[in-house]
Amino acid sequence: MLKDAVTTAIQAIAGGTLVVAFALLGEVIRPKRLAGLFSAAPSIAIAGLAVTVVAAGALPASRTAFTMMLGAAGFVAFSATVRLLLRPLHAVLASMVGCLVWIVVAVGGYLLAFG
Amino acid sequence: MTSRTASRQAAQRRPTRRPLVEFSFDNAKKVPRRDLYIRFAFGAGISTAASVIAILLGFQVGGLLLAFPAILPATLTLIEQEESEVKAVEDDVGSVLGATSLAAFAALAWWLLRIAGPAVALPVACVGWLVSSLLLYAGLRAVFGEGRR
Repeated sequence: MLKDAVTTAIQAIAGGTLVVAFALLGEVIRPKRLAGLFSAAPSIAIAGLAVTVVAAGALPASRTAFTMMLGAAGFVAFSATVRLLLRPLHAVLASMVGCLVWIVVAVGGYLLAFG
Repeated sequence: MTSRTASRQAAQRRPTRRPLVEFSFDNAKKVPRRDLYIRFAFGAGISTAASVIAILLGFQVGGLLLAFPAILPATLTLIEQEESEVKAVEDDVGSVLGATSLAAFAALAWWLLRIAGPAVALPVACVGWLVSSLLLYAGLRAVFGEGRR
């Protein structure tokens, strides 16, 4: 229980820090389209996989990375959806619709593969 | 018209070739602290959710959240409010490429964690993400131009 809490806290701090680091990198780089790459940098993934390796070992981390591919497919669908809806709906609403699309693709893909 | 004037006019008509990448470190200093706190909160929140789900439902389910678009909604909203909608669209186009490369990152990590161990797998996966992203960006730039700065 304590180990799980410590693992979660370390993953949260590492994930948040890496997100800020990649966001700052995105602010520094121009053109904007190139900077946008860093909005989809593997910040949370690096933190999550590193903590999983330390806490549980390489094989569980490998299983985590496998399903991350489905999450990445959802991320592509999210970004493409937001690209289409950003002008008519603005960022907040377009992102909410994008999150629904992410859930459909990522969770739907998981259920199809493992359900 | 003298030849010097003609060559000057020709040079003015020629489009100026901008560098592929520009770094402006002053931009990082201008980012409001509030924006950084928001991004940290999003990143920490999604990381916490991924960890808790992995503990409760298993590593495979937790893996899905490692590719959740954690900061993109906040980033796009901030760009739209503080810069412009056009720049938000440009940022999102880049994120499509980054997200595609995220799948390459995950595939490399999955494969190499099994056969080579974490010390090799994670750095190689990161390099794979960067190389894949830059290749996709170069391809997009070659076909559609560089987009807005």
